[in-house]
Formats: sequence, C-alpha cells, structure tokens
Amino acid sequence: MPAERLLGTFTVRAAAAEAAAFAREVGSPGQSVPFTFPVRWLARPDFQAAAVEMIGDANWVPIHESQSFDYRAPLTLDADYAMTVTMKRETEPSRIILSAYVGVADEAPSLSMEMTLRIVPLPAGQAA
Amino acid sequence: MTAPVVESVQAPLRVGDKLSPQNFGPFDLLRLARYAEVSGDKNPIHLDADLARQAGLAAPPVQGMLLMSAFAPALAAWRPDLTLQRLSAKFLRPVLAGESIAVSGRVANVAMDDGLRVTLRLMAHNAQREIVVLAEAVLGEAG
Repeated sequence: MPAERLLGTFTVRAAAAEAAAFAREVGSPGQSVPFTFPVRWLARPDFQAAAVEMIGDANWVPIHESQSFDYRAPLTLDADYAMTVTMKRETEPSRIILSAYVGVADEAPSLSMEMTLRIVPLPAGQAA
Repeated sequence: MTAPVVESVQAPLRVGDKLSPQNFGPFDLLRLARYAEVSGDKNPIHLDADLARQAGLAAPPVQGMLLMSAFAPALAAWRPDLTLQRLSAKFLRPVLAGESIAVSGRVANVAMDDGLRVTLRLMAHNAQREIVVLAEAVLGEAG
C-alpha cells in the first residue's frame, strides 16, 4: 500500500567549492550550479534512515530507476534555499520516491526534482 | 503538414534535427569513487564488487546520476545558445564499471511559447548498442 511522508524543509546551498568539484567530475559547462548538482541534497543520512523505517527492513540496496529536474529559474552559488521533501513508498514493485521543491520562501520553487529508487533486497544479514 | 521552423541565434531548428553521438567514459572505479565523494551518493553498491554481485550484477554499476549528468555538457556543446531547463531520465540497464556510453538525441518539438522551447528525446547507448538511459530534455533561450 502506498504511503507518503513529509520529511521536512531543509536549508540547502550550492557552495562554490563543492559545485566546482562536482562540475569537474561531470564535465559540467560554465561557472554556475551544475544542472544535476541538487541531487546531492537528497543524499542525506536521515533520508536513508526514513527509507529504512518506511520499508521496515535494512537488507536492501537502492537502484536508481528514474530522475527528473525541472528548473523555473537557475540556482545561485553560495545562496541559501529552502528544500521541502516528501518520501513515498510503493510496494508493487518495491520503490521509494523522493520529491523535492527548492526555492526561496514565499516564491514559486526554482526547482522541482523527483528521484525514484527501486528497492532490491539482499540476502539476510547483508545490509548495505 | 509542414514541420515548424524557428530561427535561433544559431541555425534554424527543426523537428528531427539530430544531436550527434558524443562519447563519455570509460567510467572506471576511481571515477565512481570520485563521483560518490562529490555527489554525496554513498550507496556502497557503486564501489563494492561483492555487494554488486549479491544484487545480481557482474561489477559495480555506474551511478545513474553520473550517466544522466552527461546530457548537460552534450546539449551545451550542441547548442550553446540554449539553456537546459528540464531533464528527466529512466535508467533502463546498468552500466558497469569500466564501460562507456554514447549520448545522442533528436529534436521532438520546437515551439515559440513565451520564448523558444525545444524538446529533445535523448538516449545513451552502451558498447553493445543497447539503450541504457532514455531521457527527455527541454531547452529554452538563455535568460
């Protein structure tokens, strides 16, 4: 049965040094925030813990199934943004879906993104 | 029916115009480790061959986001006068450590909709010519 949970609103920032290191690895053009950089903000240990809680088991690995980014305005380096994240659980097949909206308070989000992770069970006792 | 043609700073764009294949990789384990560091993606399946085997893979898979990230520079090289606004991707097959991909695409729609908007269907192939990533991008005029 699908279940959805609001994980909260978090302050995020594309620090210039982190964005530059990311850009070097992906060959991103320009001196701005790399297009896919915000995925970094979804790699939080507390989101992983929330997924373990929703799945009710830790013996699995997530496999990235799909991803989207929809920018209404570019993000600025070294600026604070509010990111609101919800996590949805699907069971047939087993998935976790993260939806995030990034923007400045009281304005339309600059970015929405969605990450779908397929949950692949591991043999008992082999938690990743 | 005549396909729409829209003048841009560069050449006119037409439905069916191609984004020629561009190669990325090979993505060796060192590259996967570096991407894990800069992206914060600590999923051990990308770095641990034993764990990858337990998940049914012959080698650690390249991070999907590292593959998806290839589309932005490919599109920027194709049309530097346009800005990537939307990108969505489905990861159809794993690309394993040591493998490369070729990114290509085709213009699916050209519209003047409060400014130029170009929609492309994109794909990434592995060395066996299998589609490993299917994607769609929307580009607009640089603000």
